[in-house]
Amino acid sequence: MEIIETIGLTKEFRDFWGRVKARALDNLNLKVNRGEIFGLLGPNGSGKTTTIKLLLGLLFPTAGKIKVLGKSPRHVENKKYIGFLPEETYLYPYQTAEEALLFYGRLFGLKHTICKKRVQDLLEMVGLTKAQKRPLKEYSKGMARRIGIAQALINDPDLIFLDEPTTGLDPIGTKEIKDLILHLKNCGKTIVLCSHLLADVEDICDRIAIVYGGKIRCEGTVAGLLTAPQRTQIVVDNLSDATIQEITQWLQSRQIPASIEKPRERLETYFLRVIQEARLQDTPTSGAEAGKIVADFFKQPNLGSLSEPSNPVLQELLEQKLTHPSPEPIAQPLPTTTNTVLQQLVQPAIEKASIPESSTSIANPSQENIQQEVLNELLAKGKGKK
Amino acid sequence: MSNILAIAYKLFQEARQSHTLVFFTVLMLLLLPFFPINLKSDDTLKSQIQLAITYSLILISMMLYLVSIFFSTYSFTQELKSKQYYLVDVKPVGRWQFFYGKFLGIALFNAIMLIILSMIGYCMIAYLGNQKQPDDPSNLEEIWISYRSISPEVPYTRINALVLEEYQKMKQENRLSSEYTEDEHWDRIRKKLEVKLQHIAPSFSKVWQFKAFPLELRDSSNKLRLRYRLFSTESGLGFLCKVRWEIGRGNSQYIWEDRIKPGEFHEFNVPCSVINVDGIAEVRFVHTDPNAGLIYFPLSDGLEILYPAEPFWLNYVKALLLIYLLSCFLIAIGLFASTFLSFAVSLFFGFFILLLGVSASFVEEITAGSFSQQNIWKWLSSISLQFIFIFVPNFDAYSQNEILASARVVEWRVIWDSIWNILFIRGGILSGLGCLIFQRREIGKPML
Ligand SMILES: Nc1ncnc2c1ncn2[C@@H]1O[C@H](COP(=O)(O)OP(=O)(O)OP(=O)(O)O)[C@@H](O)[C@H]1O
Ligand SMILES: [Mg+2]
Repeated sequence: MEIIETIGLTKEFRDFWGRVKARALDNLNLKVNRGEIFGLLGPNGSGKTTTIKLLLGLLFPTAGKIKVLGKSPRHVENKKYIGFLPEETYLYPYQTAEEALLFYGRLFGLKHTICKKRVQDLLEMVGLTKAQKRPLKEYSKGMARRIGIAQALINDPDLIFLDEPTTGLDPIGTKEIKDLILHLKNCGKTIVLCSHLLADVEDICDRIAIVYGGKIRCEGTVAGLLTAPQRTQIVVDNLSDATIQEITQWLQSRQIPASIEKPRERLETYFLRVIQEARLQDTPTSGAEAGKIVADFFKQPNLGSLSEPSNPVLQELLEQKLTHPSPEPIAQPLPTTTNTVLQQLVQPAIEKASIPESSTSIANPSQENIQQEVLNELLAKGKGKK
Repeated sequence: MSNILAIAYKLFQEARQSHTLVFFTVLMLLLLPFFPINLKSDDTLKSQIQLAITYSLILISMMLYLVSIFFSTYSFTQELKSKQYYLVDVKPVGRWQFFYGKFLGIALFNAIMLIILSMIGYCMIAYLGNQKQPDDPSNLEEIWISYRSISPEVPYTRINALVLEEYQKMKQENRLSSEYTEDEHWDRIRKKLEVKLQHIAPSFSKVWQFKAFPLELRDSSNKLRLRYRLFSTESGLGFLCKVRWEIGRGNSQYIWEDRIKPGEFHEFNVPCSVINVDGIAEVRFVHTDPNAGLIYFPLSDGLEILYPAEPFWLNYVKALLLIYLLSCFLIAIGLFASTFLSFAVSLFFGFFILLLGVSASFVEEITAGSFSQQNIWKWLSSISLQFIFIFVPNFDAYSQNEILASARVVEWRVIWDSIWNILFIRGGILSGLGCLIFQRREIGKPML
């Protein structure tokens, strides 16, 4: 069931005389289903924030139709079920964290006692209980971001818009947000997420759309988009079905649980390819174009040696990593939120999706571990050569 | 409703942090109590107190007006400019609720400010009241009690009929010179007639009836004050005119004789027993000064009787209420402008309206009669001025500082009138328009 639907959504920005300054969205058709995490990707200025603003009624469409929760985005009552974290956290500098959250809670007409309780729970969740009496103007960017996230959840929303939620957050905060998003999904919430962190998007999104020049370049489930059906996982010469059968049987006879899958490429590679293709097609964009790697004025020749790895083996590996997609399938990380506060706070919107028990056939060591191991090995080799 | 209250409440958090407002408040707290003590008037304590009353009211009202304009435009536009409103607009808060939340917040803030300032002002006036020296001739009772005035009935219908008659007569006899326009002829005839009705020749006398005194006044020990102004045809420099007043009839008649300066206001007290059983007081002026020539009482303010009606504090509260209502109008102006203008422009707009409102009497005076002018530009500008003054109330007419200082009662009628005309009609139209504009505004992009 669609929770968001846009048909032919177009947004042009005009100047005082009505001349078109920028066409931010061009005939955008978007569907977001209930209960999924939807990722909106695209380079800078591709129209992600504009889309979200239109979906929230902060901007009005030049053409096209929008339905959010079955109504116009300007329907005031509907906003009870919506949470929003803008790309920058716009808070009132003169309020303290606690006052700010209480204020936003009251805008939803929450009872004072409920509101107070929620505020404390949220502050605990984002780890700012101790700083709650300090004015927000003293907050660091990441701290303000955390308050932004807290305010987006104060009404226990069914539909949450997160515009680059992890900007300014430390790695732990980022991880916590990812866990939080997955937890919210398990509670039946729908989440629309904009992010430039492709690895994160890949990890948590069910479906994604890549936007460029105000148009959707591709859209689909992460698995569907990233699976390369023409290739086989095991890099051996082409195997017949019979052989695969044999291998499977052989594996089964040895009681090794395994599955043979089509290989996938990394989202990052895929993303870059889509944008590259779009640029080659000369699609007009009002946003950022392909930039130079380093600006001219600080390109200094004597720094050249620094920019390349001196270790030839390392360089070889880096090149390989860039050109060859990683072969291992990505296991959907399971939400392992242990934060009880968070679980209490976020009530299931529709029904609690049952968390599947971890029964992955082959337990893969996490990617970071592999990388670390390879690097260690390389360093040892390098020393040996010398 | 809870979200309107939340928005209103937030304004107090904002005010707490606003340096401008803190500065204003501290300045007021300094100016209000200390300055008037050093005010120099004509040496009597009474006039010093009167000056202090006027001064405190002007100071409080100006403070309130400036804060209303500044705070409303600042807090509204700032929120839009720094995009904090994004987070409010995506909550279930209608734009109109935001507008009225702001209005309510600033109005409450103003109310608190008004209460604090007026208490300081009142204490200051009361303090001055206790400073009476034994040799000071002032009658301070005339300050702590406010008076209601009754003027003699002017037979306007009769005057109008007479003016018409005279005009037609002159027209028939072809005595209307082409020097004047139609309106000016009417004006001249009316003025002549009024002088004729109000003038008194030597050794003649004239009787006026003052009606509708409250009957309970008759038996009280209070005093009536007769306040008058006359002109004489012979008044040279330093000329003092002999006057004789006879008030009431029979054995309760009261007689007052004096020598006064023509052209200025004079007063004397009369016991309340001069009022008869029908609540009427008869006043007779006897022209006893053969050197004065003709004596003339202006129709508009030549003669009135003041009787004690209310305590001073009640009057003070009423005057403050009027100031408060005007400040609410300015809040509406500020918020209205903020819905489509930037901070600087809406602030400027607010100040412009304030200036127009304060100088309304003056502008009306200098543009009076320009309707009849043939010049299209003059006509256009006078039309647009008239149009502006439909919206901008005359601040002088509504805020009754003068009336309060001269110890008159501020009539409830004026307060109802200003609640209706300023708060409901003008404020309603402005906020309605403001909400409508705001509703159609795209919040998600910066202003032009
Ligand atoms: N108020 C505005 N006036 C004119 N152009 C605008 C306005 N807002 C956005 N745009 C243009 O619309 C396009 C899309 O902007 P948008 O903010 O949606 O990009 P984005 O995808 O969110 O980028 P980023 O990743 O940098 O956040 C850009 O080209 C931008 O210049
Ligand atoms: Mg953006």
